[in-house]
Amino acid sequence: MNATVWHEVVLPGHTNSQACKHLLQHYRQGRLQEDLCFGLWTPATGANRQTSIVTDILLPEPSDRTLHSTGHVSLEQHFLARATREAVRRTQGLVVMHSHPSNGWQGMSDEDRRAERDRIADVARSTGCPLIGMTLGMDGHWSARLWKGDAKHRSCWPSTKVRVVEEGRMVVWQPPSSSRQRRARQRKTVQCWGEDRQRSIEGVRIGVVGLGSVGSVVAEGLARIGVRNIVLIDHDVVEEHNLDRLLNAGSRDIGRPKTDVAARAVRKASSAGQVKVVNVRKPVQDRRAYAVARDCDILVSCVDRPVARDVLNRIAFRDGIPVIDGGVEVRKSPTTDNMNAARWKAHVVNPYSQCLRCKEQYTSSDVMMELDGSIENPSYIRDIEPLTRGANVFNLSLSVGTEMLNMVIRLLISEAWWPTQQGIERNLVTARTKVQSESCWDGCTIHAEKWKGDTANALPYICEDIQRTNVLMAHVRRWRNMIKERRIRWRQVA
Amino acid sequence: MSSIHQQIRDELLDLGYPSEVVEGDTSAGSQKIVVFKYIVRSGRFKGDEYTMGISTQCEAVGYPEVPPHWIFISPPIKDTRDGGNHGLNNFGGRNWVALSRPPGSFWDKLHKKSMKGYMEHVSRVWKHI
Repeated sequence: MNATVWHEVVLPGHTNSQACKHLLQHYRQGRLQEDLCFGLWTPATGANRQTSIVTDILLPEPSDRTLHSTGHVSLEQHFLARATREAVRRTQGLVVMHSHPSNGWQGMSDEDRRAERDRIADVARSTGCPLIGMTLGMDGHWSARLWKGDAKHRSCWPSTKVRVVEEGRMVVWQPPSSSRQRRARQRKTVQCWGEDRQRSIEGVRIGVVGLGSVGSVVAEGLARIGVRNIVLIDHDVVEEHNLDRLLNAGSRDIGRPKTDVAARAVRKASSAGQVKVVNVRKPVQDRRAYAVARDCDILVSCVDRPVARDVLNRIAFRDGIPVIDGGVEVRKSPTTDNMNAARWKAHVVNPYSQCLRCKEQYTSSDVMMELDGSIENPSYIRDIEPLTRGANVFNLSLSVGTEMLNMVIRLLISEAWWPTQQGIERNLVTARTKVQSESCWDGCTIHAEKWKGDTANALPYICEDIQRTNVLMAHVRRWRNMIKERRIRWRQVA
Repeated sequence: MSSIHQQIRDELLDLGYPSEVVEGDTSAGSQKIVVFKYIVRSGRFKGDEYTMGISTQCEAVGYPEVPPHWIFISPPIKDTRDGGNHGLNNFGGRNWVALSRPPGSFWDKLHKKSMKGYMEHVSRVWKHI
């Protein structure tokens, strides 16, 4: 396997609680007794990450496993055969899960390794997918690995992370990292939520889609909080009319890709020191950008286009990657030249929440109108667009960006008892705050795609190399501007 | 003929609208529309018969997940709304007005997305023209 490719496991909240309830039942009664069960997984493939989504748990009957007085557990062949048949019937892969009487990320004993490698992985091959092995510590800490190759050359590929995606939070389990000296600039941050949570924050990969006025705030905020893996996706370039709202951009950046400006700011602002920035100068519906977005653990949607929102909405539901979306809406008074409404919203979208389409953040008709070019047509939007199109002020972008950063933090640090919060809406004019918590309409087709990963229908508008010409043209524009500026300066000097 | 055109035609036929596919040129390039006769049920044109066309660009995006966008009407009528109207001369041998009247969230809320739902939307459009 290529060294740049990694494997992760996603556990939806409901399968996690079902598995934990079964596997930890003996520990909860005070007995150091291991247990086991099976699960079924579906692949979700990104640019470099292979994710296994554990969609179902298959619990054993009393005769399906033997609980030994030593505290160990052994698997009966007929349970393995039954689980494999079920996986084949549903064209999914097989996961074997067992508990260990210790805490934290679990290593494997020789006995466990032999059982998975020699006994279970061979049978699981008939599913057409590699076997995933998962171990649960007494503290609910998961660890995972993937068994690849055939019987002669079978090797264990340790997963880099196990993510548990619940309604209002995401728990990230990862191997212990070598302890390093915390930098002085992170001291106050770590004081808020402690070392363990700071490690979780550092370990997640967060994508910011759209690096405009809101995205630039979010990207810098993530770097300051200490996120070490940041993916920046935007095809656009800085223009003069962006400069009033675009954080860290100056007149010298006109014509430069927005991702480059944001990447520069992220590196400068990072409190974690070594920050890895992946810079994708393409729209998210481009095949490569789409794949890179699917490598992320959390996506922050700072886009205002329906197609991009639709793509992110579907990633959230299919792959279980929480998407934090937000936006600003300014309405002007018909009688005065002042605004009479300025609202900003931020919401979390995952398979347990209402989807962006049911939240009416876009409609399928908007998607059609963007794809047939109507949205760009000035004669088309005349008299139809009720909003002050694109009007925005830095303070509103900052507000929505902050709200979205709060939601990222809430996802990563919240305790099980914290009330779930799907979305929040604030109004500058009325000074009102609304908290949103609704579910999808009956028959929502996006809701029906949840946890389907690669098995969901391909998105028809994901294309190769969109906007390559756009980026080239941006460079040309930038050079032209530079030459123009120099000429003006020379004339002034002359 | 693509399967989407056939699907739209079959669904219209089930509702009692025999149709055909007409191809013509617009400012956005060549386009195919599904054309049928329609008697208006409500609004100021109630009882009049028009030739109606439904754009099928949604073919590339995936009908019925994404609904048709443009509604073509021949002979052209004057809509009370200014925006989203385009006159089309000699498209498939006829003069039309093309109206941008997407069904919006009405479509997304439908349990079963088909021409039955779309024709309900068309009926509402005529009511407000």
